[in-house]
Amino acid sequence: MLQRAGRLAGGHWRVLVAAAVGAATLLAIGPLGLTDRYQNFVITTVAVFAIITLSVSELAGLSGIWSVGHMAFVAIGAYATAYFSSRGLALPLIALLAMGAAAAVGFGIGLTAGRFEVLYLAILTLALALVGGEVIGRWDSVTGGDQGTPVTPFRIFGQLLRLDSIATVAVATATVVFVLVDLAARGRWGRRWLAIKNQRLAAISIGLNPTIENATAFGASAALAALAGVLLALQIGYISPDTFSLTNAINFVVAAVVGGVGSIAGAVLGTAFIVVVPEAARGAQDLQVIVFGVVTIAILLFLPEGIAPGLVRRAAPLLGLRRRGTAPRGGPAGNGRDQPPGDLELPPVSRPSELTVESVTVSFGGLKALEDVRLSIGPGQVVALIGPNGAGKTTFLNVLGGFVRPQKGARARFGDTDLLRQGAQRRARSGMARTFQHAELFSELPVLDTVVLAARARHRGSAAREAARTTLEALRLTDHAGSLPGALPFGIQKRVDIARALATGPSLIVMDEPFSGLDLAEQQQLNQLIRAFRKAGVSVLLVDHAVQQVLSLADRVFVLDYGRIIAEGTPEEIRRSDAVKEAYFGSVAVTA
Amino acid sequence: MVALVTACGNSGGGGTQATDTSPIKLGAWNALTGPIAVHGLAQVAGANAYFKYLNDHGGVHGRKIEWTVEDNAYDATKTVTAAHKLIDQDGVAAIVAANGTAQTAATFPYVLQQAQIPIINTYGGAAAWYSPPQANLYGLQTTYEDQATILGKWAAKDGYKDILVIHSDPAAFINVANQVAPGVKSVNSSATVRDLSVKFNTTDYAPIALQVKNMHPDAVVAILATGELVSYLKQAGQQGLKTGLYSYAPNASADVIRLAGQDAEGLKSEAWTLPPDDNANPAVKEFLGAMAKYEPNTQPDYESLFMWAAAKIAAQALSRINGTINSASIVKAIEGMSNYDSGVMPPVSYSSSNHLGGTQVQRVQLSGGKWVTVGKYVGANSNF
Amino acid sequence: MNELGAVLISGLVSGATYALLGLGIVIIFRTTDVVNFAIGDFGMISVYVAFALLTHAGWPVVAGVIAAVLVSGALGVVTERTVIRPLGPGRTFAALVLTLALSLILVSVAGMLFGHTPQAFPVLVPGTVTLAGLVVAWQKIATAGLALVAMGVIAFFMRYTTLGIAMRAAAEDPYAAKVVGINRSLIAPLAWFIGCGLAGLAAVLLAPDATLTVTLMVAPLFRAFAGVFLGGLQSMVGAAIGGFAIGVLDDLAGRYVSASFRDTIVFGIIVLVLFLRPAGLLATQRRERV
Repeated sequence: MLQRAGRLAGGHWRVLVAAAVGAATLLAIGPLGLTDRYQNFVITTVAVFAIITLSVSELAGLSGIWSVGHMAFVAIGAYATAYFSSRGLALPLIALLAMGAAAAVGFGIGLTAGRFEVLYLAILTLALALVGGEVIGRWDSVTGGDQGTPVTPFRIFGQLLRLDSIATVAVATATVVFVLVDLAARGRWGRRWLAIKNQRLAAISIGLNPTIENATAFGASAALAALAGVLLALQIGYISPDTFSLTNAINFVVAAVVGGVGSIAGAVLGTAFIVVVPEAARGAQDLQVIVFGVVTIAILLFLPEGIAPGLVRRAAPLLGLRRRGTAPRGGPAGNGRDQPPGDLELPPVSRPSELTVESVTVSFGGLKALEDVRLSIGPGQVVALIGPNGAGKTTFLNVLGGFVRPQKGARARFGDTDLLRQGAQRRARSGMARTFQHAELFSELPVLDTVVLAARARHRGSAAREAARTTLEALRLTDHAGSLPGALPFGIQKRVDIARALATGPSLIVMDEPFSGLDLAEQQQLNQLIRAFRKAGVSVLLVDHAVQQVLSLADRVFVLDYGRIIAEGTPEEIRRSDAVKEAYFGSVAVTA
Repeated sequence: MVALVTACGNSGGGGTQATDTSPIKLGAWNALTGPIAVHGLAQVAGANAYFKYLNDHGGVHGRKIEWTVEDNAYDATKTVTAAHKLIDQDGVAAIVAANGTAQTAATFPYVLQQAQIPIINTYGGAAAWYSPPQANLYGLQTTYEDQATILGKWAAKDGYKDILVIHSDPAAFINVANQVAPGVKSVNSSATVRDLSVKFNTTDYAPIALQVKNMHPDAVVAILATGELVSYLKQAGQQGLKTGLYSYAPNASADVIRLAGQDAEGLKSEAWTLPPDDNANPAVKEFLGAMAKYEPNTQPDYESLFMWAAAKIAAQALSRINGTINSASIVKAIEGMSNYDSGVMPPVSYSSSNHLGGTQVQRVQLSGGKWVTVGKYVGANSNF
Repeated sequence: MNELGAVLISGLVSGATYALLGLGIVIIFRTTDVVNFAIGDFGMISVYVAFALLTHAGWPVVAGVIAAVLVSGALGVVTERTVIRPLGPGRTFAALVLTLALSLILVSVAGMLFGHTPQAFPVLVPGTVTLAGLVVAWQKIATAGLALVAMGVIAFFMRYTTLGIAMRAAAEDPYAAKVVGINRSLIAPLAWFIGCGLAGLAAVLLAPDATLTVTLMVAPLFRAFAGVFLGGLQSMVGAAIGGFAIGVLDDLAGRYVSASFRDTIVFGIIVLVLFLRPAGLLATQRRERV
């Protein structure tokens, strides 16, 4: 509860600061009249450009997508304003149209994001920028070509919108945008996007759809850029194509990196940097550019996270603040045994289901990774799939997870659902969860947020938060709720991974090498945990080569070698099997 | 020419304006950094040399001119920012000798309409700026469209019958290139005019030179930026192309001589001004002296001489004001200028219905590595 | 037909310089994970140095070319030592922004030192030759020839010398170089020297046909990057082929399809290729380095 209160207060604090800065600026340029028109213009530029930087920076920070094509969206906003202004359309309607168009284009590009590495995706956005530039150059009737096109002045409440009021409109809009983006970034959207950015597979395993989420993020970011374009058109009153040059597009990447990627305050500071530094050094010509370049490099070297996060980090110790996740609350972080799960009581599973897999064959370029594999797990059963390295265990996991498609003839039923007909992210919702060998936690999400996110696979609204708390309590993780994974010992990380899987409300948990990296005491705890799963009716598939541990737990064991099931039976039968001894020649000893 | 300076000196010495000795503030924007800084710096040097020269010779009515140049990096947003700085903070009375077509156009809503500050004699601009005339906007450059017509007439008068117009592909170039044919036809209605469009910023003109060779024109009119013209000249030289060659005023420059060398020999071009190395002409000599003194690091060229003239014409308007010098009086003085001869370029006339002062050009030809004048000043309607 | 031949030759010759630049970009990226946007400007500065040596010190053109390569390479080493290494590993985008800033600085420094007036850089070999009815400048032949020789030398170096093998190994696995017995701290500066040296060569080959200004390398660098992404950021052969392909495509598209939509066509093709092969024509999907 305290935690939650702190969170909310933290969030409010940020919103309040953003609103206060915006309001102070509005007062300064408005009623107080502290600034002249030139300063108003520069402030307007910072406000409008900050929205663009924010759209680039948050997309990179939350989704890991870097765009150098955002000027194309700014152009959509700007030219739409110019074009429709002369046709008497109302400004809000134009803004909505432009944002919608940009969002649609951005959504389309975002759909492809999963296909490319970050630098290649950047090239895709570069292509967008180039195409945009050439379209602007040729579509004279709308854009005026390289000569540009004027914007017909707007009237608001019968008043002609002049520069001073445009400054007000721009600062107010920017403030609202910043507050909303901050809320979204720290809210459900942001958490989903961070999860996907941090661990794509793990995110899919709790039911997130990276393709759609990336596309949504890109679309939202594009819409923001278009909004900035509308404001830019109002501010300048004339649209000239050089505004959307590649140089300017790259400048916003500079602003985002220098300010601090994904940081709200960083977007403002980074923008102020690219606007105000050259403005302040007016008249110094080449020297001005050199100063700009040198300061940029200095910031990259000495404030590696960017201005805003870098300053916070430096100032925090002075102000007695501690950043979230740098040290876990409640006791030393030295080991993972401080609070053993103890006697675990899990609520019984609502719909125990059976998994049956038959005739699964997978080949990669003629090489058979799996051949005619079958496996079944009854409700509440603990089944182990063992095999030496390279036996095909990972491929089998990928087939279950939906990342590898088996050849025709394969069957995989889980309860009422035909797994092979379901996309990877839908499988979480049908009750199948997964844990990972290296925990694969979302490095930028605190433990509680991670588990809440997982709980949303099953629960809506505040129920998800309640379910997450219950899960954390059951696994004795409550004290780590506010920590980032990086600050936790590996044993605890693996427990959080289990909590994440459990929170989706699964009837089957597939565990990839759950014992690896754990010390003896932690292995004992895991044993207890798995027994508790069985008691609660959750089936477990253990995929591991820690044979001794697995054999002592499992109800039934399947042995995989060279892509085929070579033995199946109770642990006792497997221990005696000659085939298994042969396959494990020399590797049986490597258990812990 | 020296008369203006002397006159100013006199009135400044003991005239009616003696009470006000504060500087007259003027401003401009130009590309001091970025891809076209080459041109920006040369242009600024010319106007700056004039204002310094004028100030050292007594200024206008005894008042010095304070001409502030802001860098716009050839970017529209930065240009509007510069305009605000000049008008809102520096309080300039007029924008004189600035640069950039689309960039300057971006400032119109604020500068011309809201702040009502005149923009005078910009390098660049379009025909549409002046027809119909807009309040507070005054120009000096004979439109590129008119220049194209003149080129067409000139080539036809020279006896060429199959003329190829090579031009870059943005609309600004196409509109200009389209005016060559009417010029040709007005002289020789049976001559053919063909058209070859090239992507703007093409660096390798070898294929284009070859294509021109295969088209066998007897003359080529190049509506290209200087770098591309040079590239074309070099490649045409390599291919052994022998045609008449014409280009327009932005390309009358020492750069063409230095960069294209022998391949540029014989090139005919229009020029804004007299050749900038013409020491025999007293007005040009005055320019050369001032450049040597105030801008020793800039080689005098057509661009700097044109901006010198732009500054000189604006200063002439200032000197004609009796009374308060402000934006409104400057506008009135400009509109009163008729057939004013700066000595370095064709005479200019402004009026309330004509805001474009310049309509004529000087024809020049590259001969022996030097630009030499061809005939007198001509305009699109001239007979020559 | 004749014209098509000329278009292809021009495309291949410009492609050769893009290929050199692209090779430089890839060599640096593979070893240090840095996308070097300043690489063209190292070349630009070194051409100015060569120009000064030719015009003021009266050096022969060949000496100027060698000087350009060495100066550019040396600038690369200094950069790696002074700003790239302190930046630390795994900061791809910070490094990218850093080299962008560096590029701004270099262009401005060049402007202050050498002035903004465009200069004519002398050709390596004057004159023309007629090949199958086509007039081709010796300069073009020299450009293509030198570029090919340079690529051959790099290929030999990477394939057959201990140092080269160590560099390739280090690109695959940071610890592999140790196995070959090469001090790892040498690999990065060496990669920067070779990469930037190649850019110096590309610049000095481009300078005579363009004109020497501080923005000499902006457009070629852009095309070189297009080639690199077409071929694959990890593949040296890919970058070379990509460079040639972009050179030819660029000229063909500009000449025969649409001058106004040249970039759209070229990048449209790149995007298409990337959709089919998401890491470039010749690269295997990149392994993330931990």
